Parts: sequence; structure tokens; C-alpha cells
Amino acid sequence: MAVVTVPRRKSRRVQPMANAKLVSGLALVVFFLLLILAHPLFQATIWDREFRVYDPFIGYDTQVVHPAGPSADHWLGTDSLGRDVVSMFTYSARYSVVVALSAGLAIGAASLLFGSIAAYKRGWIDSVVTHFSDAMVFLPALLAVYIIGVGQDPGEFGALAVGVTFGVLYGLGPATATVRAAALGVMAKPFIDVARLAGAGMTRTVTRHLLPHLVPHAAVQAMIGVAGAVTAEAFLAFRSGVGDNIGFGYLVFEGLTWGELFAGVLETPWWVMSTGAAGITLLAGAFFLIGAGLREIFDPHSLDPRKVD
Amino acid sequence: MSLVDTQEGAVRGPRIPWLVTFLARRGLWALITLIVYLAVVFILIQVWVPFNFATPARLAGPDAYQAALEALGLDRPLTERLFEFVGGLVTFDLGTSFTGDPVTTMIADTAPVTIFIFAVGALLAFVIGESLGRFGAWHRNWPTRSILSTIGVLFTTIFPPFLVFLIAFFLRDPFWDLREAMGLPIDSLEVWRDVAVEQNEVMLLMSLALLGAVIGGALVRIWAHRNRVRWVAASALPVTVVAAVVGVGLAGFGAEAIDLLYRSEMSQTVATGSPLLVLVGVVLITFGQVMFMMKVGIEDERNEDYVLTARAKGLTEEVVRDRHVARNALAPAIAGSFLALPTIIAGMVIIEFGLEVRGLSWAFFNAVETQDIPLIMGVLVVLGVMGIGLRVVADLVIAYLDPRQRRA
Amino acid sequence: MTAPVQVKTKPLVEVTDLKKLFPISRGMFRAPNEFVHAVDGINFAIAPGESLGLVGESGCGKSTTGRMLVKLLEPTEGHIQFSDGEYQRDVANVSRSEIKEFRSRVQMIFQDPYESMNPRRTVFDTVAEPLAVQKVGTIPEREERVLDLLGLVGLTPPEIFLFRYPHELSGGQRQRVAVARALVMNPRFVVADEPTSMLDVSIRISIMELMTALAERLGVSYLYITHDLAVARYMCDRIAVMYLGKIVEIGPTEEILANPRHPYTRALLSAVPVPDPTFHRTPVEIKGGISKAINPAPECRFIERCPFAAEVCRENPHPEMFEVGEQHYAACYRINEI
Repeated sequence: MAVVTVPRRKSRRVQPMANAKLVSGLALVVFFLLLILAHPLFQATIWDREFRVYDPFIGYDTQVVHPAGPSADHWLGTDSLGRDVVSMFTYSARYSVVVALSAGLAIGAASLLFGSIAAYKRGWIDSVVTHFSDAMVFLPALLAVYIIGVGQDPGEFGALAVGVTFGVLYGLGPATATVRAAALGVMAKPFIDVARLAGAGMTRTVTRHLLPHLVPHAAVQAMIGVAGAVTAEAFLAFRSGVGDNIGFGYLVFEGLTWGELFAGVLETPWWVMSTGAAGITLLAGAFFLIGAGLREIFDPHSLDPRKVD
Repeated sequence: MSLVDTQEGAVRGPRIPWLVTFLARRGLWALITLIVYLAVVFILIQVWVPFNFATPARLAGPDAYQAALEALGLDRPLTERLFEFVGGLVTFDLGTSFTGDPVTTMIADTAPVTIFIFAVGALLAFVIGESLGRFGAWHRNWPTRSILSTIGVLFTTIFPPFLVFLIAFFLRDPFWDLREAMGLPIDSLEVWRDVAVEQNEVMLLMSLALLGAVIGGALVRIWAHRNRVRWVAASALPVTVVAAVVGVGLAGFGAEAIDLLYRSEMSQTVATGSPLLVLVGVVLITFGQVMFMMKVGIEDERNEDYVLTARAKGLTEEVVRDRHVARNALAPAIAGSFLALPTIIAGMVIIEFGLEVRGLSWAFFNAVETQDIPLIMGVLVVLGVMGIGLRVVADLVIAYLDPRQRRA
Repeated sequence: MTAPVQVKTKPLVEVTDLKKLFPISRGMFRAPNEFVHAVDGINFAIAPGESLGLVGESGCGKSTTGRMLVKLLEPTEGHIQFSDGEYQRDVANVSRSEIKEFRSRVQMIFQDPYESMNPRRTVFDTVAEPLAVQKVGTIPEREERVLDLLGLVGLTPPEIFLFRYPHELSGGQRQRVAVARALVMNPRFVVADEPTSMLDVSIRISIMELMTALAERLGVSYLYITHDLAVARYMCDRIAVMYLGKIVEIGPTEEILANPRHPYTRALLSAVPVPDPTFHRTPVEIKGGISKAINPAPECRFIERCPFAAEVCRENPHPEMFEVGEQHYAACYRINEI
């Protein structure tokens, strides 16, 4: 046999790095990962450890009047209880990121599972899945998570539980509807017939031929849904605001309460609230941008209802 | 506009107008979806949540826990609760709230504001998002596009309580000044002192007047397009809306209507915020979604051959964009926007609550925090009915725009 | 109706009264009462090694027939007797557990070389998939087999094609891969659904040559579906002409081309350009376009467009096949008058 060097894989024609939305979204995610790393790093290096001035829960700097605006010691100021905002912010980043990732995975898994099975099986399974996802579109996952979580101990209903609950509720609604529509389009392609002719059963057809084409659609839905999950967690933390989980929402809550109570008496500590809100918006925005970028790259037609059936 | 009459060529037997069969089919769809939705709500509240609603009492010991279950009505068998729920739905009776009032009354008291905000807000957001998306997709220079995209992403992903703060911080005072400038007294109670009608009736009147204006305006617009009376077509909608506003004023409810819209939390006696501010918030969180859908739609369509043909005919860019491309991009944009509905409803509820408007969300949050199970379910039922109803209307619009959808 | 169309040897595939009805759902609670009669009781047989051309315009049911023969569609009625040595089955009623075995004996080649290959899988993945499903051989053995086949279908040197993705191949190369994939299990019977119609004219003839050469070498029978009589003439021993779900004429290729008896066949032939400027042929007029066979009335299917339509055609159901020559049958009441 002649010796021929065979390239096993060639680069796709799609160039993801040329998409501005995707690149900026990824950059933001990297920024948040760095934030998570920054907390232990700062704690180990530049933050005073002896008096725990920078502790996210009990830190108190006796040198300044709280709440204090941004300064050299406290880059984003301190909140009404004297805690350093940078410390709270970097500490709470990990919770919000856990929520985002768990919600994203749950959305992807739920939508891929039900979307692909519905499109493969058709018949009554398909109509059950379709009607169910149609109905779930009208149930705001954020409110449902709020109802489920409001009375709970944050230890029991922590970041992971919030993320997964939101992800499953959202994933069964809009995400499944979109993935199923895309799956119907794939199922109509001749290469599915070719696979059936090869004798491939359901497992093989779905895993080898259907799912690879659906992953981009599910990823887009997961990204869009993650934005909602981050908001949901923040809102839950914002409304209940207790325990270990000081999510970004808690910062907003802190700022708002202070502002409401002392409106006109003291200057509103806008830095507390704005930091939290910026964190939420940037994190949600990061995933939203990745989702929008992926949609542009993979399939601009993914939301076109005329492609259904 | 001739697209309307081109359907149903090959059907045998008597010709049924597509609208009738379409509404029948969508009606059935809505019914099934509603039933599934109600089932989900029932399971969520009655099966899933009881672990949580009674959880705080668990710490106090088994007796207290049992007492809490009884107080919440969760000790009864599930089937009994199910029959009560279904029976209540059939007779339009959603049970009795833990406050002692019937849920139906509490919802009837709070829903009109929310429905008004939701309907008008969604409509406005759609109009704004649609035109911005059309504009942004058509103009390919990067400053326009990226500024629009950035604003859209920012408002779509903003944390609703923070938006509440921004609105309250920047818009409350100007709105307050506007109310004063119109000569209304600070205290809402003074406005309503000698008025015989209920506040909700005025709200309903305003909603109906606006709805009538939009539908009437659209019909006139269609008629004018068919008969090629351009200036009528262009001015139909604004004129009917203005007429509706003036009409409400002439009917003698001008001051009351303005008071309802420009409420300020400073009028402690009636103690509600301004629905108009909530409206602004709903529009802000919604228009970005619509804008993206519209952009995606336009970018899909703009490379089709018929666009080239239209240009080759010598049509101006505006006509190609608005009459040809946008029209085809609109139906997918409406359908796509619906997938964002849960996010929008959730955002609306939070903003409404944050700005202290006594709408459905006020009832909802109070209900969740007081574990008022019948009221929570009632609010979710009403939200679902609203969403599904809006969906049917939107499907009708899509079918009107795209004849291919009429048989779907 | 019996099967009047027989071949001398024991046929490989024998189709009897095959029907496929697609319901048009109209009305929400009623069972569908309107059906498209896509394939409406057809009979034919294919001998081992023989290739039959199925000719007709789009929408006449020829692709539906092909898909039923390979069980991509379930027939509504009728029998498909498949006889390959020991293997004797009525494919129309083959059970789910037996379908995998059947799949190793028949294959199909599709029209669109761009859509019939999974864009995420390499040539090797695509061609070796039947081997993987049927668990034939080890991976190096499969690789060997695929390399052999790629050489056989003219993709040389095969090594460089083995791990390419579909988008790295031209249309002709993809269709060669499709042929290789169809032949990988050594099937006895291949349905080819217009395999050349989406290729450039310059490539068509080489694909057709490849298919006929391989058929002779490997003893494969084809059902060759096409709308192009010239292609059918090149590829097929016999031709069946379909119109609105019915076979209207069937016979040996040269016999049909030289002596078409059904008005529809004549019309089709008159549409084929002949590269001879001195050639003149009386044009056969047919009217209108093809309609849909929705609950067709009991009359000749071709009546709407037939220039020879008479009372007899309207008063009687669609005609049976009349023998008009050796192995040559046509379905027309006025066969002897026109």
C-alpha cells in the first residue's frame, strides 16, 4: 500500500474566532473565571489577613466610615456593614458561575433528550413532547424557581440546585421546542434514510447522525437560558438574602435597601448595587453573546418556523 | 395585500374561509396547551412545593409541621385537591385566599393594570424592536449595528431589580413633575373623591379604547393599502390611537385616566406606583429580543433572489426593505419572540412589584411570601391564560402575513 | 388483479398489487377520508442481474415505489416477494427483528449527493456504517474493505479519500462514495433513485458506466428510477412507465422505445430530443399538467390529458394491462385503435 499521509481532520470552514459576539462573550467568561481565582489570590497576597478586614462576611475596616466610596484600600468601596465590595464580588462570582454552568448543562441535556426523541419517534410521543414544551413556554422558570426556593434553606437549595431546577424547567420549554424543530429538519435529510438503510437502529441513528447536528442548537438555547438562570439565582439571593450564598443579587439587595432606608439622609451607596448589577448583567450578557454568536455561526435559520415540518 | 385571497385553491367541497378553520385549530391547540399548563402548575404547587411551604414549621417539631400542613390545606389527599382545582376552574372559581377573600375577586382587582401593561408594553416593544431590527440589519455600517446590539444585549440581560432602581432613580421625579404639570393633586384620593366609577372600570375602559384603536387603525390601514390611499394608510394608526385617548378624555375620565397612569408612591392614600413607569421597563427588557429576532430574519431574507428581483425592478431601498424583506422576516420574528415570553413575563412581574404597582405581581409576591397557595395558583393560571391568548393572536398575525402558515 | 407481467427465470423481486396511500388529514376529530393514491396497485418483477427502469414525471409515485422496495416506507397493501437463494421473504410484511438481515441484501442510492452524506462523518464512516451495524469484521478489516470498494468505484488512490469529509468532495466523487456504500454489503438488489439527475452532464455518463459495469461484475439487479428516457435506455433492460400511481406500460427497453403503445409513453418519447436534423416525428399532444391522485374517480387515470380519450375510458375503471407484444404490456382501452 502506498504511504500517503492522511489528514484525519481538516479545519471546518466556519471560523468561530471571526465572530465578534462569540469572542467578546468568551472573553467575559474568562474574566469571570479570573475573578473566581482572584479572591484566594488577593486573600493570600495583598489583603490583610490578621484582622480579616477583607472577609466577605465579617470584614470591617475600622479606618473608614461605612459605607465608604471607592478608594485605594477598597477599590469598589465598602457596604453598609463595612465589608469590602471587591471581596464580596469576587467571592460571590463562584456561586453565579456555578448556577450558570449547571443551568446550561441541564438545559442542553433536557432539550437534546426530548427534542431528538420526539423528532425520531414522531407519533404520540412527539405530540406529548410538543404540547408539553408549548405549555412550558408560558411558565416563567424564574417565578417557578422563586416559588420553589423562597422558603428553603440556602444550604439545601444552593447554587447547584437553583441552576439545575431552572435549567430543567427552561430546557423543557423554549429549548426543547427549538431543538425539536431543528431535529425535524435533520430527520428529513436523506442521510438519515441512508443510515436506516445501513440497518442503524434508534440508538445509533440518534447518537451518530441526529445529535451531532443538534448540539449547536441546544448550545444556543442553553446560552440564552443561562442568562435567565443567573438572574433567577440573583433574584432569589436578592429576595431571601441569607446564608452562605451571597450571590451578585445580594449586593444589589444591599445597595437597594440602604438606598431606600436612608434616601435623602445619606448618599446612596451606588457602588455596592452597581457592582452587583454589573456582575449579573455581564455574566448573563457573556452567555447571551456566546449564544447569539453560535447562532450566527451555525445556523441563522434555527428560529425560522417555516423550517418546521 | 392581495396575499389574503390566494389560498384554498384545490380544496374540494364547500369553501370554508381559512380564518374559521384556522381559529378552530388554534382554539383546540390553546385548549390542550392550557390543560397541560394547568397540570404543570398543579404539580408544581401541590406536589413539588409542599416540602418547602411547610418546611419552616418542620423545625418546630412534628406537631407544628402537621399543623402547618393542615393550615395550608396540604394534608388532604391529592385527588381531593385536584378535584377542587378542576371543579373551581370549570366554574371560574379559583378558591378562597388565606386572607379570606375569594381569589377571583383579588385577581379581578389586580389583573387589569397588569394586562394593560403587558398588552401595551408588548405591542410597543414589538413596534420599537421591529423597526430598530429592520434598521440595524439593513444598515451594515458597524457603529449603528454595534451600538444597537450593545444596547439590546444590555437591556435584555439587565437584572430587573436594578432596572427598577434605574427607573425609580432617573424617571420618577420627571414623571412626578409631569403629573403636577397636568394639574392633578398630589393625593390620588382627591381625584377619585366624587367619582362614581371604580378605578378598575376606568382601567378597563382605557384598555378597550386602546385595543379598539389599534384594531380599527389596522383595518383602516389594510383598506387604505388595498385602495392605494397612501396618506390614509400612513396616518391611520396614529389617528385612531389619538382619537381613543381624546375619546377617553371626552367621556369624562381624563383626569382619572391620567391619575391611574401617573400614580406616584408619594400619594400614600392610594399607595400605588405608576403603571407608565412599569411600561417603560417592560419595553426596555423586551425590545432587544424582538430586535435580534428581526435582525436574524432580515439577514436570512436579504440574500434571497426575490430581493434581487425587486431591486432590478427599480424599487427604492426603503420599499425593498419594508415591503419585501421585512414582511417575510416578520413572521419568524414574532414566532421567535414568543420563545422569550417566560423571561419577559418574569421581568414584568419583578418590575411591577419593584415599582409598587398593585397588579398581579403584587398579589403574586404577597402570596408566595405568605404561602397563600390558592392565590399563587390563581395568579399562575391568569398568567398562563394571558400568554396563551396572546400567542393565538400572534399566530393569527403570522397567518395573515404568511399564507403558508394558514394550514399549519 | 393478477400479475400478468412475468419473467422467465425465478424473479429476484416480485411486486404484486403494491399500494401506498397517504392520508390528507382534514378535520379535527374525523378519521382522514381523503388519501393521495401515490402508488395504486402496481405489479412487476425483476430477474436476477436484470435492471428495470421506472420512468415517469415528478409526483407519479416512482420514488415512493422505490422507497417501499427498500422498506423506507411501509406499503399500505400488496406484496414484495424477495427471493435470493435461501432467503425467501415477503418484504412487505417483514417483521422488525428481521429488518436488519433484509438491510444487508438491498440498498438504495439517492438523488442528492450533497444531502445523502452526513456532513459530520468521513467517507470511511459513511461507507463502513453497514459493516459496523451488522458487526462484520474488525476495524482494520473494514478499512481494507472500504479501500477496495473506493478503488472499485474509481476513487483512486483510495487512501486519500478514506478520511475526507463530504464537503471536501465533488458531486461526482460523492455519488461514487454513495455507490461504494450501497455495495459494501454485497447486496443483490439496489434501488437507484435518479442518481445522476443532480450531477453535471459531463459526469453523468461516467457514473452510469460505473453502475452498469459493477452490476455486471457483481451480479446486482437495479431498479433504476428516472424521468429521463435516454438515461433509462442506457441503463436498463426493461422499462416501466408510471403515471399517477399506475404503471401504464412495461416492456423491453428497445421494444418500448421503438414501438410505444400507450399515449403517455408516446408523449414522453416525443419530448426526447433526437440528434438528427432530418428526423421528423409526429408530435403527440398532451394537455395540462399532472394532477394529484386524491381519491381518484373510477376512470382512466390519464383521461384528463389524453388526446384519444373516449367514452369507454370514462365509463370504466382504470384499464388492466393488455399484452401488446412479447413481454410488452400497456394499460389502455383503445390500444388497438390508436
